[in-house]
Amino acid sequence: MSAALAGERRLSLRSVRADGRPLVGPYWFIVPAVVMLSTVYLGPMIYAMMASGTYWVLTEPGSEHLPAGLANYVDVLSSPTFWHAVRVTLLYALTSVVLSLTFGTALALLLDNELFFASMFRSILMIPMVITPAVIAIFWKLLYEQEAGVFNSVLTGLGLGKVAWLSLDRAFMSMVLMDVWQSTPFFMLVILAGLQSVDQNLLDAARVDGANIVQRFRFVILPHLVPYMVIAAAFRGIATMNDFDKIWLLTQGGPGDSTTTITIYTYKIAFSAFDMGRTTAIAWIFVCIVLTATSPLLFHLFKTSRARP
Amino acid sequence: MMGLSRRQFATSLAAAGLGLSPLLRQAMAQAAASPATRNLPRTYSGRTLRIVWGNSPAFISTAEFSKEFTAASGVQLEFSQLPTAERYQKMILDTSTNTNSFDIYIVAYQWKEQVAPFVIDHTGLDKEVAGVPAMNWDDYPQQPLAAYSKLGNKMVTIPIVGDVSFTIWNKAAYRAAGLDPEQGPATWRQLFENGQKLRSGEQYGYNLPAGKTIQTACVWITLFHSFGGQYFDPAGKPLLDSPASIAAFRFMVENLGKISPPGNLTWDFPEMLASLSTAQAAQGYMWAGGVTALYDPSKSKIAQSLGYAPTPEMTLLGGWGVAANAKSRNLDAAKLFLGWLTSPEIVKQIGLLSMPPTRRSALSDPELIARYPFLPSVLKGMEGKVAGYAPIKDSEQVNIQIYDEANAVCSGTKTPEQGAASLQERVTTLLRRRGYIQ
Amino acid sequence: MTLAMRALIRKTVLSLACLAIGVTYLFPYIWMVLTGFRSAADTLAIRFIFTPTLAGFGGVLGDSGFQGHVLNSIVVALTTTGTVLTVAIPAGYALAHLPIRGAAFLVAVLVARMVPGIAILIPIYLAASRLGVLDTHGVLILLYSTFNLPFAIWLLRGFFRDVPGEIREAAIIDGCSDRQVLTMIMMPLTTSGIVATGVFVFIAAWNEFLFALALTNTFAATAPLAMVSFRNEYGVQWTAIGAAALIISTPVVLFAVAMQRFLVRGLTMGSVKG
Repeated sequence: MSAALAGERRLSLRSVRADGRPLVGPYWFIVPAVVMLSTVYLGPMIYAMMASGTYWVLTEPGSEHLPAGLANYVDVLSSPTFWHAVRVTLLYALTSVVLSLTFGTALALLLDNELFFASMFRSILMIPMVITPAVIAIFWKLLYEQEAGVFNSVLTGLGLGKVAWLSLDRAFMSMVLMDVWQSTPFFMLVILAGLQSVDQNLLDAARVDGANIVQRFRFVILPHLVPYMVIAAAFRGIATMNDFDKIWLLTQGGPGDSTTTITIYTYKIAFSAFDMGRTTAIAWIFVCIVLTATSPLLFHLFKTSRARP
Repeated sequence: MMGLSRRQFATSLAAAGLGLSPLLRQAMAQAAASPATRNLPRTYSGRTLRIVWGNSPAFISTAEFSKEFTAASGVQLEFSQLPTAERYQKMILDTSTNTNSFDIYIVAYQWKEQVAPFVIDHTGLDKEVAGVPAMNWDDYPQQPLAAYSKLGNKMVTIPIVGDVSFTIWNKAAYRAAGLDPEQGPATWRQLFENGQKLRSGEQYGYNLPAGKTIQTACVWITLFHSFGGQYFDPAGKPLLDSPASIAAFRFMVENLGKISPPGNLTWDFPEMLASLSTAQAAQGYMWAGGVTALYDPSKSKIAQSLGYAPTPEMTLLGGWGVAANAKSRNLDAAKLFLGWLTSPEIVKQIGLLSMPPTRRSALSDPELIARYPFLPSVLKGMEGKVAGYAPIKDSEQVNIQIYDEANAVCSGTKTPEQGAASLQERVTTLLRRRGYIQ
Repeated sequence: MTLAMRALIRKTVLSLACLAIGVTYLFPYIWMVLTGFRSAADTLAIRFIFTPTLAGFGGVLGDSGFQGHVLNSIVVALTTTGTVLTVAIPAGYALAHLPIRGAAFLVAVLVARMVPGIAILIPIYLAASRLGVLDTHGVLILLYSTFNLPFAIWLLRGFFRDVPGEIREAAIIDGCSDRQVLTMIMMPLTTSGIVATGVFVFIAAWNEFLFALALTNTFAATAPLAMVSFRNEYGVQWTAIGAAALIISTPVVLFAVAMQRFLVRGLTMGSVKG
């Protein structure tokens, strides 16, 4: 290749034109996304920040003009119920994501083989993900019902004892179980799509080198899947932290505070008390908490997300 | 294509599931023939009223029934059939943000003070709009009327659902336990003793709800007032750590809780009702409005042996009213509809469709009593010793604190004393923050 | 034992395992479906043998209001999916291959996703009310598209990154613009990823509840709202909700099944050498 050609090629991959003007073109690719995200998120969040500095209660006209300074933030941050809700939320998301990821990956690996009715299995295993979360909660409430519920009826039929699914100690794990049931197909699908793009040459080379199935998984497949897992886990984790109707219809945050997540805690303040000042303060605090909790992950993503030079 | 209301959807379900179709048709025919309907003017023909409404069977039937109004007056009705929490949210959002997309709201009486600034005074509707039947305010028992509608000199709503708390029992189970099946418990203590006798094997003595829901608050409030408790002192300070309060918490966890099915820490109304209808609990707390469901043999095992009476010592008023949005663009049409809907003849017809009436004339009507024999007991309950929700604007908030604490006590995370103290503290903070007290 | 026989046995065993897992895992769903076929009393009594009835289905299917809800959901979900893909595919491609500083944008997008819906619901309700767009499809589509953008962008970027950069370089040298590279080369290579993303977005838009509840009334109400209206003070209309749950989950499952063939192995990926 001549030097001139090589030079041209290098230029067209950089962010400046041959005459030195910066390439604006590429940025147009993300403009629509930026516009939409700013409109829907930026506006309300700034509004929310301003509202969090007032004593605004929706049902008290004129209260939006009562300045509160940091009173709402102090209120929320000093409330033990709030911190308990934070703990429950983070624990819920973590447990649920880890379990769903594990089961989802296992299912994906299972489905990635030669099977009879493969596409039928893929379709039906996807079903739990597709059902409206509110409906899932309504049905699982009956499944979990202690005295005359479905699970316990099956257990007693098998000769085992009844389980107190929605008791003070067990309600949290029951809630997690319900979410794992719904989220596993999500991970299964993402991992399955990721498995489609595993480099066959690498796998064949490993097979030739004598690696068995476990080693092939650990050294070829798993590293390839990790980025997909991370993205799926991050987003599913965030979505789980925002879960509301499922938990509300199952336990309303009870018994006690065992299943009270941030969304449940906020819902009462936002939709029964209509205390906008505190609601918006909670929103900002929560974003900060999640940011802090995921900052190592974000750092890692930031560093590895530089586009190809 | 998609401008369809939920009523069409829900009513065919009602027709299919509840077998009300012939009854509905009969009620509608009666309504069409009645003077209230025949005197409706067609002045407002072509307008559409948008109504926040309920989604339980009685509401669904009433929505379908109201087609008679549309037929006679030409006013279209669009019902948004919603569960309880959503009715509250829609109402508050619509009024306080000045959106005003609804003309009429269904108002639970504990919300009455919050919605008062945004709705009209309904006292003189019959004089303001031609064709509205006489309001007949005297036809309502005094206590429910005061609770549901009166605020100062204004009638903020018109009562549409009249409800009181009942004790329900399974007569067959009573007999089997050696109790008199015709005699309900006269005191809470006696109720508990009955419950202890009933508690055996798979059968329980009560259907205590202990979830973080309004029903749990209802039971507590009934007990609290039965034990002599009072929400506030004359200065407005809460008295929620009084001995009556502690006694109410204690009775819930140590007495009623012990004879109720385990796993009730997330129970709400549906679970309470199911517990009675499947004969799991042989005795229980139930709203008079819910008794209809227990009479249906296709749904209820105790339909043939149903015993009922107002709750011992004190009954709790539950109930709903309808109110017209003061900023409605179809205000006169809304007034016409409300006047028609709450007139004595129409109230009787929708009473036949299981919409629990508040009017004395309806509660004493022989035809209604033949179908719903418990109506005289409802009237008796309404005219006896009654309690209500906290008589302040933030009544709903107080209920939330109550059920939070009751749930904590029933779960065992707090003792009755701690629960009462915590409730007192939280309500005091609430009152201070809202400016009721210093 | 020949290789072919071993492969067959492996196939059979794995298929049976799938079946066993499927039945256990889907037990709650199976039970949910059965609820639609039996009377409420049977449901509460947890009888496993019962007389099936189609009354629930009849009531639900025949109702024009319910049909309206489902239609609204289809319209909103499909449009949202289309919008998201149209916006996210270029963005994902750009962030994967183009020489732009995208790191900050990516992280900001992820942070945006962390905002709990409940917190911004009322400001959005106020804005929608002032603009007069309450109870319209448009407002739902805009909101749902935006909510799903972060995930779609991240996921699609991941799939685009799996395509080697050399492919793009070769095409650019041949004189293609980036737009052509995207539409004619990159997209066909990442079809399975695009389809997977589309399926997720469709499902998310279909099942969204909170904003639909607050922002719609009778005109634009979506399917989940119909579902929840089956639960009233007096209990759950089990037969109706079972029937409706089955009916509502069917379009989504069909959509995903139709997209299955894109998720199958067979796309040649490693075809660029050197």
